[in-house]
Formats: sequence, structure tokens, C-alpha cells
Amino acid sequence: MKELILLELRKQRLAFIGLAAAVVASVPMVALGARWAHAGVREPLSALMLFWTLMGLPGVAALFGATAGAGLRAEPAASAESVLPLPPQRRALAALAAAAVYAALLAALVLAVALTASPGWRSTLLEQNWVQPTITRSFFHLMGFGMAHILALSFVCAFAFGHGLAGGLAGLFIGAFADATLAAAWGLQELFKERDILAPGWVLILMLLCLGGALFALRKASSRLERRAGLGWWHGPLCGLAMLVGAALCLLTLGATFTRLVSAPQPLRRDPYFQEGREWGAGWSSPALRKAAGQGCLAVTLEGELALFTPKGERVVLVPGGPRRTLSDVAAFPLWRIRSAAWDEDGSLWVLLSVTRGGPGDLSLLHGRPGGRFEVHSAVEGDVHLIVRNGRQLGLIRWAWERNSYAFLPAKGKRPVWKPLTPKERDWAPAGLPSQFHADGLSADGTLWQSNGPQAMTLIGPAGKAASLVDVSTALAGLPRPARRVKERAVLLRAQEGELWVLLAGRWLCRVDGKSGEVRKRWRLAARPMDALRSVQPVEEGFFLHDGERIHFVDWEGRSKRLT
Amino acid sequence: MNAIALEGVTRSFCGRRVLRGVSAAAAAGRVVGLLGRNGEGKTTLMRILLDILEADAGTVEVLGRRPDGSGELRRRVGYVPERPSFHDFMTLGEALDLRRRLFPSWNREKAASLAAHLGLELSARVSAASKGTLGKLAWVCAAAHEPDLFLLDEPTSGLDALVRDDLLSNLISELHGSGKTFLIANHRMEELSGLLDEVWLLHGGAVAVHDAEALRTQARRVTGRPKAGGEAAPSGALRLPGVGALAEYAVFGKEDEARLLADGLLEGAESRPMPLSETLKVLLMSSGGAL
Repeated sequence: MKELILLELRKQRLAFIGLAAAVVASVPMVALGARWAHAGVREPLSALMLFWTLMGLPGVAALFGATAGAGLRAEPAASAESVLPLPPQRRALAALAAAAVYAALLAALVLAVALTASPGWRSTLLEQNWVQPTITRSFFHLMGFGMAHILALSFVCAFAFGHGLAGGLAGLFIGAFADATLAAAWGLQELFKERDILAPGWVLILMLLCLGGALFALRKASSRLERRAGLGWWHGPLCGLAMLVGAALCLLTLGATFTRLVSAPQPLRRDPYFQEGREWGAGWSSPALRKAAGQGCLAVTLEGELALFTPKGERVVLVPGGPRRTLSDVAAFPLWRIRSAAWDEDGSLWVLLSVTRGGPGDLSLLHGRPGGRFEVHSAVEGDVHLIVRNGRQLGLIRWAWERNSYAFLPAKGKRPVWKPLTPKERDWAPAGLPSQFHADGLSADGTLWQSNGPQAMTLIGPAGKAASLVDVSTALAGLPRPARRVKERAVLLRAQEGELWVLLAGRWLCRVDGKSGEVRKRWRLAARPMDALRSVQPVEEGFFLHDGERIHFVDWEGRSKRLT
Repeated sequence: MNAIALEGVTRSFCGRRVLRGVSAAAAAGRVVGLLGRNGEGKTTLMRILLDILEADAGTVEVLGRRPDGSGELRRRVGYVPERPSFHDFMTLGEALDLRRRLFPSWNREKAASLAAHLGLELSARVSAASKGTLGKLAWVCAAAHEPDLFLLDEPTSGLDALVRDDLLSNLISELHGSGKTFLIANHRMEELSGLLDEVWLLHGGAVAVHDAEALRTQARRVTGRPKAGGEAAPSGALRLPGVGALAEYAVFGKEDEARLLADGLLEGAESRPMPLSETLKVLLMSSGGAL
């Protein structure tokens, strides 16, 4: 095999030398051109290296694959090698390996030049930022696979057709299509890191299927074409199918990933600063508000639907979804159509809905009740808005480049009156409301609590003062060994008649004694919350749990059901 | 033991059947001449024996094993193609060196001595080599790994007389007491006729096997003046192109000769032995149906 690879390396070296020279020579040429045009060198150089990386390397893979594949059937080498004491498959593999070596060397050369000569290239492809499209970066991250796939496909096609150009183009088209769709799917997962829409294991399987399909076709083609002088009516389509199945699966994966992304309901994000931080107004513990919020879990889709999932598992659509999102919509501007929603003490719901993208007058403040109609309360101008709560008062926050501002909810048909929100006015407490106090969470029964070390919590009394300390470390110690190692803080879900329902190690619901913290009963949950603190919502009958992709409901006896 | 055994071998190309049930066997140590007109499938048969092509149907056995596509068989077979091919970016020496590394039984001394004997300049590039040089190089490549079976497909085709003589003398020395089997296709079979043990006549996709010794001893040419009405050849005799007013027939065996003479078709008939080289031509003519 080594002899064959060396032979193939020798056969293909001219192509490598030519391309390497082109890469190296392109850098000073572009620099000279930029200088001649009295322009800066940095930008053209970045563009050049991005071209070499994103367009050049796939093209290089196709070129090497096609040259090597067609070369196997080109005379006089084909006749010279057919009489050697080797199976045709081994000769084909050696040619493919040699082409892969040259493609890898050229890729290394391009990366080395780009890394040393182009800071713009580095910031575009290596550094996480919100300016450059994530899908471009994903395409780059999958470049190794993409090159291998295109190379293998071009090789097989050129070998089967006996024509380098036709084979290279066919391989490049199929391979680039598969790689671009897979990169797009992976890019969506990268863009929405908190979601679980594409399993890395499946991406790996897809890559193996793509490469395996190409190698299968190569094996079939090499033995059939050499000894039968034709693929035949059965093996030809089989080879074609083997090469296309990976691309088809990549396309299906992108479709499934995108559909899951835009149509799977996700719990409505609460604003981490005003609603999920450590500031809790007295209003949160009001029974009326708890009852309103306890109606269920508000969930939204990227298509803009707002739905309420009840503890019984019903899905009540409050605001129907908007027009279907496209991939470029999501990839370029991943804002939620439902910007924010907040319960009022009377059981009604306020919803801030984005009507169009950006620009003034693009938001509507809706008001309504589950089971009833939601009507436009008023139009809201500005940039990004949130409905926030301070104590018993609801208001809006407008983020602006120069200055943030706030406004109380306007009267129906009126526009909100904005006031500047300075650091000093951050506590924008309307007159008469109690001061705020710190807490980590609110249990189903209205008990505010705060972590006191990983396995202890302080229950907070109505006046905001510490009422009692509960240590659940003995409960944790009683869990099976793997759970004990999980570094996840305990979360209080319910306090009832001297007993506490606590989420331990992110996976165990434990009913413990309210004073000693000893376990009375425990249940292993069917799913793990994405974040023990923020991905659970306790209500009267149990609690909602979001595992990163799906919403579950678990009652106080540990019985869980999947709602999405 | 048979070095080559073929049974019902067929092979088609794009719907055209080239071999239609070839059955023949050659014992080890035999020298077989493969005779056939252009396009009859001689090269196809050679490539099937070499495990480069796969037969559509039938069984093929070469040196006791069936071709399986692994290429293992080629380690024991020396092949000289009609148009020898080598990588044109190599020198002659590099071409030999490549084979040295791939054939486990490669005899380096033999390769060197053959190359020297044939006057090969090993530093010369393949791309600049003449057809004769490539023919010589092909011969060295075929012989240096000590094969048990030689498949020679027009080994002297297109070569000048001196190169042909070189190759033939090497072939004879390789044959000498070696016990190796040869299957030789050559349009100029007279060059080799003295060496043959049997002749496979490939015609219409099938093989007819003739014993060379029988052809040598029994083939006769009968010449005479034709009598009126004696145009048709009697059975067992083959009408040859006549010379002037004379008619000529080829007969294979004494019975056929006696029948021809007894038929009284010829006046003043003369019978003389026919050399094998001529007999082979006659066989070839009879297979093609035209002169």
C-alpha cells in the first residue's frame, strides 16, 4: 500500500505544486494590488484568505479528487497498473489517500498563511462574535469533513465517468450541498446554544454516512469498472444512491432542525435582570399573582405563537403564530416575535408583540385572558421592550443606545410615557410600594427562599427577613452515588405543613422534613431541567420543568408527563 | 495438472458477445499458440486469464486457482501486452524498481541481466522510449518475477527484425527445460511455429484445439490442374487460392488426402507436406471464411 501511495503522490504532485504556488503567490499579489490602488492591505488580505478557506479549499478537494479519480483510468497509467499484482480497490484507495494527503497539506498551508497574515480572517472564523454569520463559522468548523467528503465524491465520480472535469463538478456539487446543509443545521444549533435541536452524535453519524457512502461507491466502482468494464444497470444506480443518501439525509436534518427550532414551544424567557434576578418585590408573593401565574407555563415558538400549557397538559393558544420564518430570518435576526409577557393580579396577561422587525411603531401591547381574545391595548414605539414588574406595578423597559428608559403601562389606546432609567433610578419604585429584598426563588406556596451554600437554604419571611435555615445535605447523601457527585444547588419547590419539596442534584424530587432536612420520600425525575433554578416553575399542582428542548409537568407525587 | 482450464467462458462488451462458451485446457509446461483474426477475443481471453477482466459466465482456472479480483494470480503470471504501457514520468529503471517492490518473487539479478542483454538503458525516460524499447522492457517485466505461466499477446507486434530476434531468443531460452506454460497470440505465428505444442483457434467466440504435432505431420498441400466441374472442395479438403491454372487444396490427414485424390477432381495431382506456419495460416483462413 505504501508503494502505491508513493506512486500516486508522484503522479499527483504537479497539481499540488501548482496550487501551493498559487496560494503563496496570491498573498504578495493582493498586497501589491492593494498598495497600487492606494488601499489598505488588511481588508483585501482577509478577503483573499476567506476566499481560499471557504471557496478555495472545497474547490481544491474537488480538484485533487477528480484528478486522482480520472487519473486511475487514464492511459498509459491505467494499463501500466492493471497488470500489477494488486486488487483494483487497493489502487483506488491509494490514489484517494494520496489526494487526501495533498488536500490536507494545502489546507494546512492556507490555514498557516491565513493565521499569520490575516487578523481579519482570525476574527471572522475563529472568534465568537455577533457580527459574522454563525453559519459561515459552522461551515468552517466542518471544513475538515467537507473537504474529505467532496474529495471522496469527486474521486468516485471522476473515476466512474472517466472524466476529471465532469466528475469534479458532480462531486463538488453533491458534497458542497451536503456540507452546506449540515453546516446550516449545525449553525442553528450553535446560534441557539440553549436549545437542543441537533444532537452532536447525529452530526457525527451523518458525517460517517456521507463518507461511508462515498467509500462504498468507490469500492463497488473500482471492482466493477476494472473487471467488468462497466457499472451495469444495478450497480450504477446503487453507487449513485450511496453517494446521494448522505446529502439527502443532511437536507432532511436541516429541515427537521429548522422545524424543531421554529415550531417547538419553549418556556417564555423571563428577563434575567428584572424578573429572575435576586430582586423580588412584595408583589411576587401576593396570592392573586401566584394564582394568575399558576394557570400554567407560558411558552412561545420562534414563529411567534404564545401558548399556555396547563398542569393537565392542555395547550391553550393565546396568540397565534405569525408568518412562517425562513432560514435566513432566523440565522440573521433571531429575535422572538413575542418579546415579553407578564401576568396581572386579576388573572389577565399582558403581551408585548413584535409586529415587524425594528423601526418605530413596530410593537403592540396586547391584553387578554386565557380562553378569551387578546386585543391590542396600545402601540409601543422604540427598540427592545420588556414588560417588567416592580412590586405590584407593571411597566415597560426600553433599551436604547444612549439611555434606557421606563414607563408604566399606558391607558388603552395611549402611548407610554417614557422616563429615563438611570442607575440611581434603577429601583424605579412607585410611591407606596415596599422596598425589595433578595431571594433566589419563590416556591409554589409563595415562600421566598435563598441559597445558603449548595445544600442549604434560608426561607424568607413576609418582611424579607430570614425565617429558618434548612440543610438538605443528608438527603443528598442518601441519593445514589452518581447523583451525589452532581454539583447542582438544591432548589425549593414547595413548603407545606412542615415538609419541603426540594429538587436535588438536578434530577431528584425529594420530600424532606422542614426542620431536619431528612428525606421522607424521593422520586427520580424523567428529565433533567436545563437549569435547576431557572428551568422549573412551581405551581399549585406541581411544577413545570424544561429540559432544554421539551416541557414536562411533574406533580408532587413525582409523576411526570411530557407536554411538548 | 492443467495450467489453464476454461469451461464455457463467455464475455460480452456492450451487448456484443466476444467469447461464447470457450472451453479449453492447457497442461503445465505446454506452449500454446492462440490463433484468431482481429477482434475474435484473443486479448479479452488473455485479460480474463490475467484476472484483469471477469468472465460473464463459465469457469476459469489458472495455475490451480480461480481469478478472484485480488490480483494475487498476477504474481505467478508473466504478461506481455500488445501495447506495453508504463508510467511516462518514470525512467526504465524506476519502472523495474516499482515492480521489484510489488512482486515478492522478483529476481533482481535476472532483471538486470535481461535488461543488459536486451540493451536497455535504464536511465532513459519511458516517455522518450521507442516502441521496441518498451517491448523489451515489457519482456523483462514479464520474466523477472519467475512466473509459471506466460501470456504473450502479440509480443513482437510492430517491432523491427532485430528486436524481434532478441525477444524470440529470450523466449526460447526461457522455455528451455523450464516446465513453464506459454500462451502466445501472434499474427506472425511462423516465428513461433517450431515451439508450439498445441494451437487454440479462436473463431466465433469459441476455441477449437489442435495438436501442433498432428498438424505438422498430417497437414498436406495437394496441387493439380482442376478438371471441368471440379470447383467445389470435397469434404475434408480446403480449397486454397490457386497459382495460375493450378488448383490447391489443404487436407488434414491421410484419409482426407486419399478421398481428394480418389474424387478425381485434379489432374496430375501432387501432394506434399505443409509447414506448420502455413498450416496455421490455412486454419486462420478457414476460420475467417475468406482469404
